[in-house]
Amino acid sequence: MPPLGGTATAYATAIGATYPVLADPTDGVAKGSPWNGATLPGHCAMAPDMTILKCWTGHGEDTQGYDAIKAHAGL
Amino acid sequence: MRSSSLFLVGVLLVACATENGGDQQGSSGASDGGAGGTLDDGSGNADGDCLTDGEELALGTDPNAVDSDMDGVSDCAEIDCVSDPLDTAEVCYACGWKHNDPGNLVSTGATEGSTIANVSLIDQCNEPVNLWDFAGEYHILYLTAAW
Repeated sequence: MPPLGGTATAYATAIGATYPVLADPTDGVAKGSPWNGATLPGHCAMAPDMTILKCWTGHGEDTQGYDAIKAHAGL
Repeated sequence: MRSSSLFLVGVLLVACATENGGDQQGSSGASDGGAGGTLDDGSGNADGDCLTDGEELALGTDPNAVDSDMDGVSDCAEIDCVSDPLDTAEVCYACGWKHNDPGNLVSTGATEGSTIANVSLIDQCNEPVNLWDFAGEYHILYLTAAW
């Protein structure tokens, strides 16, 4: 059963999120990014023009995403 | 067993490095306006909303209508929430997200370096959200699954 708004609502409440928590009922992000859903969690760093800068999986691997953003931003 | 159709996407704003972009209608220079002035000098306010007639003309909104696109949300409210006051199909997101899709993006693929597709998602306010409305800032998508 695909996730709907109620799934996003429940998850956002559970983690206390104030940022967007979005259900993806069509697997659109998995189909439209290098992340294929085989390993959780997945991450993708996105530029302001919605370019996919870097995708990676697993916990504790966030540095590469921040590095990709900093490089893109010229920092 | 995880179903591949249960993905959740968390859009995490990376606050350390942002760029302005998108519609950016939130800082329109709107003022309280008020009666007085004339349409000729732009200082009047025929519809009595937060925008002077001159500001309405600059924005393209109707100086004689509080809700130019007649979508049920006033021009002023749409400007405040970064929604297009001239687009009937676009109203404020209940969760407060900005409509930052600049309108000129084209998806170029699904690999690093490509522009991602404008995926339709559903937010925690149970409302459809288009991914490109988060343009204009750096984000990290956190992708997980629900069982």
